[in-house]
Amino acid sequence: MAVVENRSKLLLWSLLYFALSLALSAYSARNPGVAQIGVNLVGEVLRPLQFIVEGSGERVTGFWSYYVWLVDVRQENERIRERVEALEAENSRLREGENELKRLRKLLSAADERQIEGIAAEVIGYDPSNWVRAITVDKGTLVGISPGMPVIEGDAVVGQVIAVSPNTARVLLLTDHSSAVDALVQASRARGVVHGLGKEYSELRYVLQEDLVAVGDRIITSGMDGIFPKGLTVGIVSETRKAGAGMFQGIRVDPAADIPKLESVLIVTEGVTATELPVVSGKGDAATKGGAISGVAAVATRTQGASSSKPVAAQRTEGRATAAPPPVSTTSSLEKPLRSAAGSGASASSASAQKTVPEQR
Amino acid sequence: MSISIPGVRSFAVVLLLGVLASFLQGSVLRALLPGSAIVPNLSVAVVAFLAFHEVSLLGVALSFFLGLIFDLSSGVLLGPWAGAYVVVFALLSSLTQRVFTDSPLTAFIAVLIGSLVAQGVYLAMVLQFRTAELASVSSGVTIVLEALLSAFCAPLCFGLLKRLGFATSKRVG
Repeated sequence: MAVVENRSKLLLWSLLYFALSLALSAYSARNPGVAQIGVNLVGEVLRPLQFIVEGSGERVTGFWSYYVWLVDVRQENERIRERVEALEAENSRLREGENELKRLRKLLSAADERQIEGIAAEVIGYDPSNWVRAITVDKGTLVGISPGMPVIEGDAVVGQVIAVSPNTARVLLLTDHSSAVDALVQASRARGVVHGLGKEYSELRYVLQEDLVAVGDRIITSGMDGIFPKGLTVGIVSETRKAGAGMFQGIRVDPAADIPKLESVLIVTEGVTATELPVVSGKGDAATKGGAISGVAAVATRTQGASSSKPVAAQRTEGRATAAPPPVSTTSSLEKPLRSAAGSGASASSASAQKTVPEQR
Repeated sequence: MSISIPGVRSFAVVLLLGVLASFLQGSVLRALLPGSAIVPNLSVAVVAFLAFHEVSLLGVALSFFLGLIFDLSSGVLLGPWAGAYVVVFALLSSLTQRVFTDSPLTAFIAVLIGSLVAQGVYLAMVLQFRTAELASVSSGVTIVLEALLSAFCAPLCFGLLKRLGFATSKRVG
């Protein structure tokens, strides 16, 4: 009887805790800032440990590879082993420095080319859950990072900042379920929205069946969402699928950024929005991440990359059937909506753009 | 029989283990494995261990707070993992009275079941409060792979937890 009572008591408390978790979930769904407070706190606490892990991972691997497997050699020749260790450690440090220099040069050269201003940051962690595709970087509000800022790697879109603490920031990746980027096909100028699927590739949606899209085409940001500067590479088309009765075709897009191997990213603080679409020679090349832009036809104006709600004035050089969907900002349905103002602002800009372009159907 | 570590201290130790598990999953395992690979959920193994060796109100509370720590690390919502771990604890603790709990195979099966149940409850709660598009096929693959990986790590986790001092079982009744 006592056993039954105790088990009943245990079950009752389990139900109470489950009800509490439901209440917490409902409350945090209405108040996303509550969950972010905890994330920021945990991020600040774990940041030093994450630095240590990220910084010494390769050194430990190199030490293991070059030391343990040479145990027999060490036993036979102690002096040579010590010399080899010292040289390899120095080699590893220099190589790592050279790789970092290349990465940062690549980041800054793409930013300089597009007159983009940003802050370089190192990736120090990934989301522990398998259901959220997000990374943590080592820069935060202390250097001017704020939620909503776009994040790029060279010329490629990585994602968007969704939460910040004084020294860290959380970036929702392009491949997350809740990620959406307003984009267009560079060659045919077909407009669509790149949705993350929680996988290594994404999907370009709302492209009409009659629009020309081929494997190998480069997908670039349209700039209409007011978040990502125009012309950044989102990915490369790897598969197209035209359904019989549907209005839109299915397009698989491989991200241009090497997301599994991200080490350094650039958080855009100010970006250039061209008032006319750049002229591009040829289709996008899957082997290169930089766009082969032969020239920008109009003067570029500088705008705030992620914090401005000012409508983007866009002029199109050619008329198009305006069946394209409204511009969509990278908001996370799992996270707090950040750019509702940008969505309405971009919608207004889309309307103004349509007014200046004769509709052709 | 009572647990060898006093209640408050064991509470702190288990919470610290929860933070460590989140850190391992988010940093160390991600650094060692390819970026897109699925990593095992070590917290589920801790919850399963509690269901075996701390079948009491303390065990329920620890499971809840372990889940809460995981929610804090993830930052999506506050509460889904906490609810999921409480369900797993209640389920496994009801079964442990009838099985031999010191077997590695038992640990494997318990964590496998626990991980499947935890992910199912988590997804149900997230989809209830947030709209998210989760492709059914890929979600199923993720669920199964994570459960298998977590189950393979279970005997090791159980051994480590026993060495930390959770050596004897406290059962209700």
